[in-house]
Amino acid sequence: MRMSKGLTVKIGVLVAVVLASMLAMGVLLSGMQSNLTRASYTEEIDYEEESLPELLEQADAETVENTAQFDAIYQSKAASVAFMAQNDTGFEATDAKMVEYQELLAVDNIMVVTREGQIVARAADTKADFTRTRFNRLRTTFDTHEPSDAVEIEYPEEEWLDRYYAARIDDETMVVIEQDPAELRALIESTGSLASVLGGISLGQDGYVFAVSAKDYVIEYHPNADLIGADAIDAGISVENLEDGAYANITLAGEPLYCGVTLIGDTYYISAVPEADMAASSFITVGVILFAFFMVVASVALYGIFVLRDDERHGHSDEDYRVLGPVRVNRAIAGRALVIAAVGFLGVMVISFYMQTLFALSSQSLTLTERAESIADSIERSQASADELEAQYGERYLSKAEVAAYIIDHNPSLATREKLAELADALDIQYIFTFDAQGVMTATNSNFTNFTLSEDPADQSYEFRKLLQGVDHVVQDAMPDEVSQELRQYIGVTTHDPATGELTGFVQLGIRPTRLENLLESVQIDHVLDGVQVGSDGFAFAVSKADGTIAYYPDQNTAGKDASAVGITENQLHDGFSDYITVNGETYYAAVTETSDYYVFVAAGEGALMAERGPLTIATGAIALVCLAVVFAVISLDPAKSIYVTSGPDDGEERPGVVEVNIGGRRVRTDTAVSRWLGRSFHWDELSPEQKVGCVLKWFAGVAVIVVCIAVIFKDAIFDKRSLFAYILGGTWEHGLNIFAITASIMFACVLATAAAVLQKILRMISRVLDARGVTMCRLISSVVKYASVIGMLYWCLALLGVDTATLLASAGLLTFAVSLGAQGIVSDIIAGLFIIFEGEFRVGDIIQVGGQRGTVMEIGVRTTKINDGSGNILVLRNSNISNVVNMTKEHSYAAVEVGIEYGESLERVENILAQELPNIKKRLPAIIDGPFYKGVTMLADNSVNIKIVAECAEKDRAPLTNDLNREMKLLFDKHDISIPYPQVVVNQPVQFKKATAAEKLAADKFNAEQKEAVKNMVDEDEDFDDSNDSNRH
Amino acid sequence: MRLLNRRQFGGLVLAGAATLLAGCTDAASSSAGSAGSAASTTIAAPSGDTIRIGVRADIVGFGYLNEHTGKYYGMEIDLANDLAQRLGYKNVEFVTVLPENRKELLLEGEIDAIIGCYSIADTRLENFDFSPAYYDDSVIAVVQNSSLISSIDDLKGCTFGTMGGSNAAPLLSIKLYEIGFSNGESRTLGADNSDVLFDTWHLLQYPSYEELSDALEIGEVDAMVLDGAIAQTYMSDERQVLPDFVVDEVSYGVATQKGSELSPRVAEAVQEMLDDGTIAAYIDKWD
Repeated sequence: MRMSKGLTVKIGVLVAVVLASMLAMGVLLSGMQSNLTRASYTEEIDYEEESLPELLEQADAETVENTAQFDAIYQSKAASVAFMAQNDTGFEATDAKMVEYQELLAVDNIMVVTREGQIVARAADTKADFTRTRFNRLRTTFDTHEPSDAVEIEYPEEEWLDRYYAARIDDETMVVIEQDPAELRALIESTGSLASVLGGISLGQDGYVFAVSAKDYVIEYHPNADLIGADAIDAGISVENLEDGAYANITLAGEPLYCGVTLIGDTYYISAVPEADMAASSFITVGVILFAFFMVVASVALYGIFVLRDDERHGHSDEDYRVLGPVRVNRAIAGRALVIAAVGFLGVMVISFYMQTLFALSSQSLTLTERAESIADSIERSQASADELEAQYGERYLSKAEVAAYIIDHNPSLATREKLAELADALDIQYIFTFDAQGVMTATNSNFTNFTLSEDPADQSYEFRKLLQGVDHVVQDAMPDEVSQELRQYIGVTTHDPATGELTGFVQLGIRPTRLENLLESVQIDHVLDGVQVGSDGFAFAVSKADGTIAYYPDQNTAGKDASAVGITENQLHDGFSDYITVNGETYYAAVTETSDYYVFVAAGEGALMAERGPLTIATGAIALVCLAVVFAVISLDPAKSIYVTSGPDDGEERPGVVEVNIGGRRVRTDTAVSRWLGRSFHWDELSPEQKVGCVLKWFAGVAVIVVCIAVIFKDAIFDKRSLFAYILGGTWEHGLNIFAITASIMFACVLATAAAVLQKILRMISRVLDARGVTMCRLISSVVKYASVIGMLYWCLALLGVDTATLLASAGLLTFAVSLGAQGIVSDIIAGLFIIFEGEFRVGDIIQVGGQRGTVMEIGVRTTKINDGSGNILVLRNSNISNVVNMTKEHSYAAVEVGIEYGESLERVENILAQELPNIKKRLPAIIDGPFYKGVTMLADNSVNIKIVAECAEKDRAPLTNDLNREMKLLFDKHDISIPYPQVVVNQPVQFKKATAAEKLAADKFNAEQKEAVKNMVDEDEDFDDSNDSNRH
Repeated sequence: MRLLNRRQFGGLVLAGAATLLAGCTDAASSSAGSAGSAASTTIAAPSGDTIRIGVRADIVGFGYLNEHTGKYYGMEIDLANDLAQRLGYKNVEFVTVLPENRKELLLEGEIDAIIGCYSIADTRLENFDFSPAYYDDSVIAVVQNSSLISSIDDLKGCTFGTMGGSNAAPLLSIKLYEIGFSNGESRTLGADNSDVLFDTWHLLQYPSYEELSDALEIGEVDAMVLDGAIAQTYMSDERQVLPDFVVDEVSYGVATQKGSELSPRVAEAVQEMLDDGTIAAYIDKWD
């Protein structure tokens, strides 16, 4: 049947509306979503930009500090040579002596230079011409009597890179040290350079900070080394975007970036996040919501189309319409469409809200985890650098101690308070002590006097006794001083008599490593966590591993308390934890990382994303509402004036496989019992609109499930390792009742459902080619697969949701015990009920026969099933008692009557009469679908010849039709004087029976044959009862 | 005395290429010749040809050739592009000019104009036409911090470095003479004017700013004298501009061939750019 023009137009409008609303929804969602993402990235960029000046300052300060340290070392070396020259320690201005000093001090070159710049003695050749004004700074040492500041010369053409330091020997000569600052350069490169600062900054997943010179727009730093030195403007950045405080979309080397620009000094620092990053995170969220939305809108629209088409085909009565002003409402359609639309709307809202929550929480989780990891990283790193610095200090001061020992060796008379003070000054250290071979202090520049090395191994000074027993040097770790509690380090080197080589004692340096002290302090947990700022309201705190107390918390009152006392539970204390926590009654979202000593928590409020999900969901809902309203209107409203062209009622068309049943007084179509299991395929056109929509929904769901399944299986290939969805699929979140676990459960269920469905499909295909036994096996395996997958799914999902499954299994045993005690009845009822539903034995509305009782199923409960027997009586059956069910929900039933005829009557005559009259009966009884048919002689009974008449009818019509047929037969027999025998006493005169004519005989034979042929395929379930029927009639 | 010295330095400056007189005659003849060719190109120009502009390749912020990209960048490059557009040219061909060859290139018509930190000076005005100044600068002295030189007086007996071909050397000698630092007499004259010894100071000239800067780094010269704009490229934390000492004020203009058809149009366009703030914007962009 072809569609009418009106319908075509309507379908066109529906498709247009669906497409338009999809488009609107897509644009709105991706717009809002990317705005949100952008806002969150902007926040992150702001944070980076805020902290950047401090980082750069720190780096600069570090460079200054490192340079000062480096200079101080070589200045003190120059000073110590000058000290030796001034104090009669065998100094002479010869090249050979300079070489000796060069080795002792481990420097590149040592020279003795006059005030004018003439070189008197040198350890090695030099490129420097000290007469030039360039070296005037060195000459300052003559005026200050202090070592000069460094002069650095860098002339790459001649590979000349050296720093020079001078110390005055006397008014005419100075000692000059030449040293290649490669070590300093390397240190600055790794701690103070732009690359070292910017390289450590990450934004989101792949974001970074790069630097562009504000002078010439050359890229000064970029993680991609190829871009360093390139022209920024050439690479795609426009000058307008390079404004302090600007946010812009910039394309750099073909990669679109979202950037924040900040100008510090002569450099633009650009915090960049790849657009692809931002799009990727919102893409799936938008995709899922759009898919859900599409499913709902498409279902409603398709339902509308199916109904309209159905309507057109079957016609409708005018009472279906109600005129409302200029339009008329198709009530039959409107009601159902409204329900589907409302449910769909709710679905869209729920899915939207759910996805937003998932998106917000997982991004929050990722951000916090990253932050926690970076904090832990910086703790570990500063710990490592503290260790390294400690080693450096040891080495550096050991070298100084060796110089001091060399000096004392060469001139033991310098071991006086005054000279040691001078030497300490030259070596740039605090205290020098000299000890004799007995461990008794002989001289010092400090206030401690009369000191002898302790003989108690527990004392700090005991370790230095080793020096008197053959050890060359002792470098003690820095430790708090026994007296002052200040951090202090002692280094000792033995002294010998230069002539005999005999041990004369040792020199000990006492230093206060302030820089080390500062660094050790900066490694302290509260120092590290103090400045941590996460978003607008986030912070970091730490729980000590050792004693489970809060090691640091922004609120002083909380710090030091037991973690469990403020609300942190044991299961939150592990690496990778990420979920809601409650501290002091306040709820935060937190991530945890483990360091060697602490659990570092980074906690924040729910964040902007969570706050935004409400408005976002409402916006989604609003669009959905508008769209659904339009679709609804198009489906159910017609212009009042238009005369709907209807084709004539087409009652003759029957839908196979579908029967109408009564549920709560409402007529509803349902599948026949047979078609449910056979998986019969129907022609699309023969399906009802509801079935079609169901079918379409099934396909949608199937597509969704398969997509999820593919995403889960190939997650590594599809998703970036650190993306939100990799996070959700990765399973590193907490097991418990949270959104991630629920999502993962759904995904797992999808995978399992797909697998089970595929397996069952395969089994069904196999069963087609197998014999009956094989089919049985296949059906059985299929059933096993179904139950196994359901049980597996339950088990796995419960595990994800944090239920201890081992306990669950154990408690199953307990359950059995309880069951055996008395709850058995109820439990078996419940389980039987579950099986009825799982197996699909019958549904509400079906007509079934259980244990000789027949009726319509009204309700399948947890414990009982209620059946209406048709006469208003409700049978309440316990589920466990429901067995041997006959599901009689079928397309056709048969009403049958048996009538006895006197033996004397001519059977042929009766059959001829029936041949004429049966069609008339059908006309009188509209309940008859086909027939009635003559089924032949069923029995030659004692007193009568029994014949049977059957008629096809709906199951619900069977009982009344049987009565009607009985009545018809009686009337028919009366009319034709066919007597029905009954027990009587007959006083009779012989009657002359009529004989059948030859023609009648022939016709009767033919009739018989025809009827048999017609009822060949009919199975009458009442056949079994015939005996009793007959016997009742005796 | 003073006049003599000036002439002496005029000769000094131009010695590397030609005498002042020779320069004049050269200029006269070649400008006549190339004026014709320039005219022919400029007549064709509005229909969309190429203008050849001489620019610097070594002055960051003005004219800098990024070897990474092979392109020129800087305020003067933007200015040149804008100027060409205003004059109706479709393409700009940049030619790297050096102080020693820029004059010849323009005189011989190899290039149509110089926009390359070329200061407007009387001697140059004899050979070329200049647009209104688009940038004002001063010639300054840069010293190393480690030399502890903090005033011009500390430089008595010291070595000054300039770049050969720039007019810093004559300006410096005049200035030092004017402030009484020197009596202006040069006692030794090197073969190519690159090494000149004065009574109280010594002048070394280098072929490029790069080498001049290196000479300052290794202490070969005690101060380098150059344009402030150019000095920016070579400044570091260890260097400073000698305070309270300005050799001279200079102004950069667009140089074109003397009497060429292009000259008035260039002058007009530059004036227009000065008036409408375009040049200020370029200076701001590259500052």
